[in-house]
Amino acid sequence: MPALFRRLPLPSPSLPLLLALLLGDVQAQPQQPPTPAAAALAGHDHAHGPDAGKGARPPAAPRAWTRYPLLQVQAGGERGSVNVRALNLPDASLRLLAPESTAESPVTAPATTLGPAGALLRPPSGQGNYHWLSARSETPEAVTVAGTAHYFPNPGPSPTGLLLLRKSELEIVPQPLPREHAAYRESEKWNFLVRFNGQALAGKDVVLETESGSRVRATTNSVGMATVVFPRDTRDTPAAGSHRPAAARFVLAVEHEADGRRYLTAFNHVYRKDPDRERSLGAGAGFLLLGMLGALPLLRRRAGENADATPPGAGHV
Amino acid sequence: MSERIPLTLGRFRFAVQLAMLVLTVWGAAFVGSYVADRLSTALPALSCAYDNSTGAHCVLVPLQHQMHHRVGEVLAKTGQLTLTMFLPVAMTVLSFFAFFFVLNKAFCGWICPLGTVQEIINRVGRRFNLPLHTLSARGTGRVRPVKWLAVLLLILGLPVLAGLGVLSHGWGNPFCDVCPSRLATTLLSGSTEQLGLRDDPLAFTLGAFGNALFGFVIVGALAIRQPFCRICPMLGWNALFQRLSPLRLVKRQHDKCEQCGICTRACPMDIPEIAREHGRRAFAEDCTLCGRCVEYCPDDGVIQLKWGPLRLFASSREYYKRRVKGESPDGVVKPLRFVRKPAAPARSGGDAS
Repeated sequence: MPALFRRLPLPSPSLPLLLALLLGDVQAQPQQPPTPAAAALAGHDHAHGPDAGKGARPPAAPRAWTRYPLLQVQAGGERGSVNVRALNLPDASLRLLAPESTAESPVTAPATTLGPAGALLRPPSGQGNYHWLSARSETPEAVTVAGTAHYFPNPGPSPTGLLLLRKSELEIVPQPLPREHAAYRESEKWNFLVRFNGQALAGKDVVLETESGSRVRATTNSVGMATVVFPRDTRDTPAAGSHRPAAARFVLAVEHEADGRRYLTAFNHVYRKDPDRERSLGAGAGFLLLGMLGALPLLRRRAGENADATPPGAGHV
Repeated sequence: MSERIPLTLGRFRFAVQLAMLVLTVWGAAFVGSYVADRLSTALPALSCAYDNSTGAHCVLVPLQHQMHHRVGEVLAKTGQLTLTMFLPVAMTVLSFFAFFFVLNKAFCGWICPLGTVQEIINRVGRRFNLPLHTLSARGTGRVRPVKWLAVLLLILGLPVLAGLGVLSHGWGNPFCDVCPSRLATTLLSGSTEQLGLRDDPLAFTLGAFGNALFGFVIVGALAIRQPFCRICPMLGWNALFQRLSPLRLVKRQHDKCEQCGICTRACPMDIPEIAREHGRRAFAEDCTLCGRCVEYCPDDGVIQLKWGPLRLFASSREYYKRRVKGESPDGVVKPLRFVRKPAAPARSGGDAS
């Protein structure tokens, strides 16, 4: 496969990719309480029909499926807001970073302390879709950081610069994030950069744990990049009213010790079922062949038709 | 070499088409991965949003989506016929028009990846001397309404009905579901996902139709020039605005035109008006501004491509003579001669090439 193909997160287009092109916001209104993974994607999905946009879903109760810290993001009660909860990370402070942030002038929502009920946040500038959320808990012995990227349906700059900004000592930087309304998906390879104080960490183990119980280990290469293959383990069916494939949560974690302090950083998001598991390639190829066969009579030359394929007029100047 | 392969408008256009094929199929590698990095999300060409590595998105995608989620759903909630509905649609149309104003329907003839793919396939057909079927003036007249029906039904009507709740959500983007460019560009980018059919009966039916249509188009293009372009809703959508761009095809009246007709034979869309008419009527609704009629018009200055007052390219007898040496009006390419022709024997005077 050409190098160009390997650079891109190729097999992830899906029907809801179309939704990325909508200007403005449409709030989700599922027909029944969503799965936690679907709830985490509230900002991505769209409801359909006349009832769409009436309000936000109630937050689902947190469910511990990993020992690593993670952030659970759900649509808030108000338009454009989100409710954020931290799991396995008590007394953390929360920060929301907007995509137009630079190292010199970060654009952030006011820092918030995460209580048991979570925190209600809205995009600080109202611009841009992917924002970075991080929660930090610190003691003299340890620094624990949970991070995720959340998609707000607002037009604005791409998250390329946002991802490269230094946000904590030990970082997991998605390279890249799935394109808007695309997703991490089963069997796909995705790259994550591991940095400490802005420097790539080579030979460092990262661990991927999924809501479905899988555990995958990967090691960073010489430039600090870990390539993770998402396991084929999603079992959920899509939430009613959603036309996206089923999803499950994952957390990717890395640990590091420096100067007598232990650092633990985790990045969590969701990944979706491989759409090929719900599609029939054989049937698709069959109908393709049927269409090709239908066109074959066109390749038969009719009597007296342009046998030499040189029309009158041509070459008779 | 420059003597053997002279620069013609046709070759220049083909080079542009190949560059645009790269940009519209794999352009994310150059412009960036995210939607915000795309050249546009309202391009007047079938640059498919299902292709994750594309460099731009086709305007018909947001139009269907807005008909579905904005117009249809807002109409369903009466009393909200305000900015919520009109602003996104207006922004899409304005974004589209910002591009369209510059190049008009040259987006079809020079930029569209599906147009380029069909053209390459037809070149293969010419190379292997397969039959070439053209449409008569009557046949062209019969086919033309199909693209308008496609605009009305697939781009506007069915998505609005889906938004209103009259039809199921599966009718929300019916053109994308059957668009051959979706399959062409995703297959070119290395993904077979779009070829697979989903289990849902409606999605299966639309997908099966789309796959069969794509199969028909890629084989049919061997014997028919631009088979899908003739019914493409993008051509219809672009035709709605074609008088609003400074780029246009201009033809003046000439007494030889009715007997000649080479321009119509050169036209990949078999447009009869280019030979019969002059003035505004010669720039017909099916024209993709490919410029072949200008190249193959054997009379000086009869047909021109103009941008406002600027004459970009005009027909000339000398150019025509050169052009037909390399390719006949219907696209049969004459072999390139890379070997120097030996000197003719003094006695025979024959051509030894």
